[in-house]
Amino acid sequence: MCAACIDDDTVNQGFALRLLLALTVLAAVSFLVSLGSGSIDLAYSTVFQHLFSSEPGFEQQIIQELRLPRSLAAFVTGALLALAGVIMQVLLRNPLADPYILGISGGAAVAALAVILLGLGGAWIANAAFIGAMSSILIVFGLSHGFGFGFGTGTGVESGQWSTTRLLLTGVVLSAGWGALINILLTTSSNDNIHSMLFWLMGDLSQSSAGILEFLILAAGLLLSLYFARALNALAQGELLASALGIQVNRLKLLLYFSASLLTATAVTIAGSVGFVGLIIPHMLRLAGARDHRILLPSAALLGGSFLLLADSAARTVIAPRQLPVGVLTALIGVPVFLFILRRSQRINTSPGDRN
Amino acid sequence: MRRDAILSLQSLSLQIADKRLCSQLSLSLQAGTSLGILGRNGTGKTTLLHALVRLHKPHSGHIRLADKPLEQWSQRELACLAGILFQHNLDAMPISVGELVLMGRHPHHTSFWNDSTEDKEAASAALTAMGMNDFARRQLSTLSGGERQRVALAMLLCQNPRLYLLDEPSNHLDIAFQIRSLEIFQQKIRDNGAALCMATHDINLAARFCDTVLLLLGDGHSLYGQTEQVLTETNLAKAYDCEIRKVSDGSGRNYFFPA
Repeated sequence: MCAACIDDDTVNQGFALRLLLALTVLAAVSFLVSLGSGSIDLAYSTVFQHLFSSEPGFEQQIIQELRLPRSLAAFVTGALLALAGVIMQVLLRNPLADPYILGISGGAAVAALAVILLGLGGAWIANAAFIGAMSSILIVFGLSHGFGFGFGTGTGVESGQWSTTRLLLTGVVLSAGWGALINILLTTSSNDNIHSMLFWLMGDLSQSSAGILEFLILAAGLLLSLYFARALNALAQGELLASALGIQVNRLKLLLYFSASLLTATAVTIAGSVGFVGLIIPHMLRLAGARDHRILLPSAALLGGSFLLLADSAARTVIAPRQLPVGVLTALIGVPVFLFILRRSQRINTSPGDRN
Repeated sequence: MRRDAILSLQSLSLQIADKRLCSQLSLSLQAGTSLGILGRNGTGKTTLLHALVRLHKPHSGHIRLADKPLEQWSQRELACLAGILFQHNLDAMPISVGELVLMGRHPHHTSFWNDSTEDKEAASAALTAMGMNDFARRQLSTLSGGERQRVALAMLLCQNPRLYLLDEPSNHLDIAFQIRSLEIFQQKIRDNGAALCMATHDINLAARFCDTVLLLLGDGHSLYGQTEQVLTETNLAKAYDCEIRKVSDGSGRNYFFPA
């Protein structure tokens, strides 16, 4: 090995650039696929031609008015969920954590389903979901305040591991409670409503659109978490260590909790509880070598967005003209891909060549 | 040698739940010197070290670090001044050895994005000092216990504080590295006007490397003084509730064994 054993390769700037470039290209391709696919297949050249044209026409209308809002919604939802997943996994230092683990989607679901049960639709469902998610966030915060999060001078970290466990337990138990309420709503509602309720629960983009606000929330979440990227690296190795390295752990945890929650609430408001993205996208990237949060955070946003774009394209085409809820496709595509990567990384990690 | 007190404790009392660990403890640690903390399991060695970096709140009393009370330092300034080796090595999420050691520079970072050349040089030097040059790209999870301990020590060297707090530094280390690593820290505190404070079960290491010793007796009481004055057969028997024999090799160095 070289005399200076910590060189650019250790921090892997070349790898970071290549990865981000590849993911940007993937995102662009995913957009094209998403805009081109549906009950009417459009060639990519047609998509290009009509995407920015102001000349009214059938294709232009399909692309600009029907597909583009949905594609943007898919991308931003996937990006929000993957980003929230990265943050949640560090906050709880638990690889099984996903954006929904603390009950945010449960709260949103109860509110959204209640609104569907009342026969309201569209914006009502979205608003109710957001209010439900925010209530759940505040309930978990309120209950875990004092052990999960301490305000004050930075002492109190000594009970860190336990506090995280308490926060996790509070969230998981609240989730179970929401689950019971969801089942009550499902079993007591009429057959007409069941269909839209199930679609909401599985995550569905057919009614979705995303505007500038959602992208601003994504950008704010990404920039904020990037600012703390190094602190996240340290926190991932433990609260005591992070504190000993000069990080105000309690303040950081509070910030992470609220930013991940807001990102998740936004995603759930757009598309219901799309599963799996927030859990596997961070892990896929970590397995691919993006462990440093300076790389992991932007990569997760790009890959999460692309993944949901592709899953949604499949959801619209697999049994066209009928549509599947996108949440079904995220699992159907995600499970085999993830298992493949996991198996491959296991082989690489145990091969003798990696030992030095 | 500069005679600034890097650390001073005034009437410090610590307790966990209702158990009093030390009461009315006063001592000071000068630049270039080292303090050994000895005592049986559960007498408060780790808690005392944690109190010095605000990871445990004292019951009463005052801690001064350099020229200011402990509570007046910002979290980041504190991490530049005092660095701690934890007893339990952490490997919550996958990380490479090089990345972890470089993390020791965290409190010194001026940019929130780039690692400076200085940071990388400090990390390289720390790895070299601990004989871990070839391990920079290895995953932490593939290392043995002793190798991980050396990585943790390298990370602390890389942090380069003025007060080194070592909790069981010899844990998992082979006998050569037990001596070698403490020699490195001893050299470091002499060269940089730093100070060292280590909690250990190894009386011989304390006798060899520490100028002063704090012997915790478990009932809140403690013995504190120059190493040779504290480490006597009588005191150790009292502290450990076990007969301990002191053997001298004639060159002035003492060795301790259970009788």
